[in-house]
Amino acid sequence: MQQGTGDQELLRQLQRGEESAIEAVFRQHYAWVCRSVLRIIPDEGIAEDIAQDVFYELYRKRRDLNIQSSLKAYLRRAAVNRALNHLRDQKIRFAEEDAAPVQESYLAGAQQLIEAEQLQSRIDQAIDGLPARCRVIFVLSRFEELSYKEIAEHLDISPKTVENQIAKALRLLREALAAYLPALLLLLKAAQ
Amino acid sequence: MDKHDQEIWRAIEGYKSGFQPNTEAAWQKMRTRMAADEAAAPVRSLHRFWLRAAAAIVLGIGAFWAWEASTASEMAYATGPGESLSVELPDGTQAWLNQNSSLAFKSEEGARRALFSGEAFFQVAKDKERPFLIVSKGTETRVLGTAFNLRAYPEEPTVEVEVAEGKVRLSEPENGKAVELTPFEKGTYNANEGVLGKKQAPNLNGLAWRTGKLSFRQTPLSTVLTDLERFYGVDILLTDAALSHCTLTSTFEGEALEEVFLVLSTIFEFKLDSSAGQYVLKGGRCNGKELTQ
Repeated sequence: MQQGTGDQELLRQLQRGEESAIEAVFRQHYAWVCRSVLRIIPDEGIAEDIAQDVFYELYRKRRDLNIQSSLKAYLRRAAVNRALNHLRDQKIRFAEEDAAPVQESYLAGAQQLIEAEQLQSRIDQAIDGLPARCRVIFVLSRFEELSYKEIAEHLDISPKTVENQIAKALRLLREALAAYLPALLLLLKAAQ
Repeated sequence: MDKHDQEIWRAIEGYKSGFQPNTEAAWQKMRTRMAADEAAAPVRSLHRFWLRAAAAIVLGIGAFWAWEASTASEMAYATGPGESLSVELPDGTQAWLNQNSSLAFKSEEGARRALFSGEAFFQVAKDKERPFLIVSKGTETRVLGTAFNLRAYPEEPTVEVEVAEGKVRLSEPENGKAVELTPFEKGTYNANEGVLGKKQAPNLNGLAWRTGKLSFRQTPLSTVLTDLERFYGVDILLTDAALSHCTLTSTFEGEALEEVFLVLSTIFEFKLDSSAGQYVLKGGRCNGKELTQ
């Protein structure tokens, strides 16, 4: 995670209690914090509420902030913690539910020219379609850069379970996205 | 992780990247929460509030050295965009805050002191021993017990006081200027020009944001349009300047702006155009009487 050059200075202003700093931080980071939360809780309304709470807490605690890492890392951690707490509060049990049927019908589309946007929604659908516990574990590892050990502690499960769930997620995603994989990889290459 | 897993791992890079939240709307919500926070926890955040108020108001520094020293009772309130707030201060004074306003209050021996930014209607409790002093944007408003509207937004060049009851003294301490205002008078201090003056305000339309009522009695159209602009938060252009002296007698209460324009168009016979967020009044004549150049 790269530290934006302006972030250090923003952080100092924030800690000095300069109110314009909270606005700058909010405008710069709100959108991606929303997306981080949304990956854990696939509900846009809830994701925005939680993201807002992340910044509100930052604002309230700004005088006592002790951010060792980067502002971005701090926001990411706060977002992940809040999202997981929300799941816990909602008593969303990560039962070993049956895997949602993987979208096999998409195989037919392989021959078609697929727009980037459609590919995007295929990814969203495939990951959203994973079993709930499997999905959260996978997302924390893939997108929030948490270690197996950290994920295990967060969710009160064993690191071995984490590893198994990630392997399972990859297998299910491979099935769901088989038809699109060449296009997705091509797109990634083009974007680089 | 084998090669295929690595491919998948990379391929899903864009998960949820299509979600574009409305940052502007979210920020407005955040601001409101922050303002509500200040209002709800007045004492704790008070010192920061002084600093902020001081910065925002650009006050005459000299008058405020004494400010930090004493404490008897301290309160601070704030409103965000689209909010209003009615508060009762410890001395019994009522204040109705319009949007984007902040008020800090401190009760001392010998005086009641307030720092203010934004717009509010004050109904000041009578206390002959302790005048009520409000500092905003380099001006001081001094009263004993009155009702008046004070408008002092940082982004506007003026401070305006419109008096409904009693006597109000509006001064600019730095240059020792002052005006005494009585009911139906409006005092204006223009910070850019350093000019302090007063004029009649027979209709007290400065209070309309709170009462919801705009009245005009033989009021020049230029004044009518200014009052409408402020009340409805719009921009109105009168293309024929000669019409600005036409007068209007009418009262609006609860009408939508479109209805007001309908009334005006009927009386003055102009055409209404609205484009680029501005209302343009074209042509027209004074109260049915043909204008002669």
